[in-house]
Amino acid sequence: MENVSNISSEEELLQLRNEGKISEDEYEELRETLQKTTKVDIGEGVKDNLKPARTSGLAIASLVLSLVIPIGCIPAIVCGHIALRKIEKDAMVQGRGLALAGLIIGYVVLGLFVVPIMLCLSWDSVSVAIEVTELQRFPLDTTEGLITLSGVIIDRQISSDGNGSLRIEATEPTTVRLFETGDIDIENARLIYQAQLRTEDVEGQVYLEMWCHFAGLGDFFSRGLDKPLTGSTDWATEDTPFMLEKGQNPDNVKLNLVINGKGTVWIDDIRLLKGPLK
Amino acid sequence: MSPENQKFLEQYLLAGFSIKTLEQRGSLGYAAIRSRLDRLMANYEALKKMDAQKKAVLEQLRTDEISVTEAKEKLEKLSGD
Repeated sequence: MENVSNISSEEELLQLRNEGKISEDEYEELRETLQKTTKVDIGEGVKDNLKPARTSGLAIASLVLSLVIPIGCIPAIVCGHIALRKIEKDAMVQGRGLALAGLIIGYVVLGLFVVPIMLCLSWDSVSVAIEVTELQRFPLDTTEGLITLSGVIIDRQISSDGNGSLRIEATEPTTVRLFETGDIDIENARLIYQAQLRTEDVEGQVYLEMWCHFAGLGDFFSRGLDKPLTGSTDWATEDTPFMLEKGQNPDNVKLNLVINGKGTVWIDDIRLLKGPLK
Repeated sequence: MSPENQKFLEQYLLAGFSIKTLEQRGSLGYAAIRSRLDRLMANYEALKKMDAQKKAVLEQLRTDEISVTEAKEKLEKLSGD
């Protein structure tokens, strides 16, 4: 291979000779050294790089994953994009076509299957949220309408909404009768008794209790025993549902708070909600 | 530069510095062409750097900082000999 011209340093050497800084012999000696040291040829190493480029594993993975419909589409898109980036950066990596195919199929599947499914699911949750309506609300900022008045106090300092709450200090197991709704005309629906609760040093369980009275049948209850509170807990939303089939229309609903032990309990912002049966 | 590389660069020039066009005209694939160009550029950069180092040695010789023998030794060291 021919050496690439070394004009700059050789010219410098020539000037040194012309200026008389070095003799002719020294010039020749140095020139020979210069040429000898110019061993890097710009063609060196090319052949090593002429070996065939490898196909990107990610590009292959992208295409394969894109065919696993529909769950593979998102990994396929991710792999496809990474593969394309690597292919652009590294000349020895091929598979642009595969990556593009994986990406296209991935996006098509995403558009045809995944997005509609996600939209349906989110619409269902929106529908459920819309279907839940508030029937009655008892803010518990005052004792107005409250049935039990002894052993309870409106606490202005501690409340979930900043407007006061009802504090009960129980020294023994007790059921605090809070409100009665009268006839609320509801059937074929889920009646939900919801309230904000806070406890301090409670020994035993604290939960909501709802009684529904049906004419000619009597009283039936629903208790929030699936997640009762105990010990000391911060404000939490508690609820207990009552499933009312078609024709089951209570003429009165009683809302109670059960403290199955002793301790201090705060209750605030009671809501009676109506939701879908299923 | 080797005649092979000169020919390669000439073809690249005639292709309007387009790797794609060169790929269509020749037998080399895109990756091979790009790799060859990358290597040519890298080695050319290395040559330029080395030449600058040689000039610096010769400049020292000009200002009598080093003798001809020392200059020769330094130049040989640059090549790794």
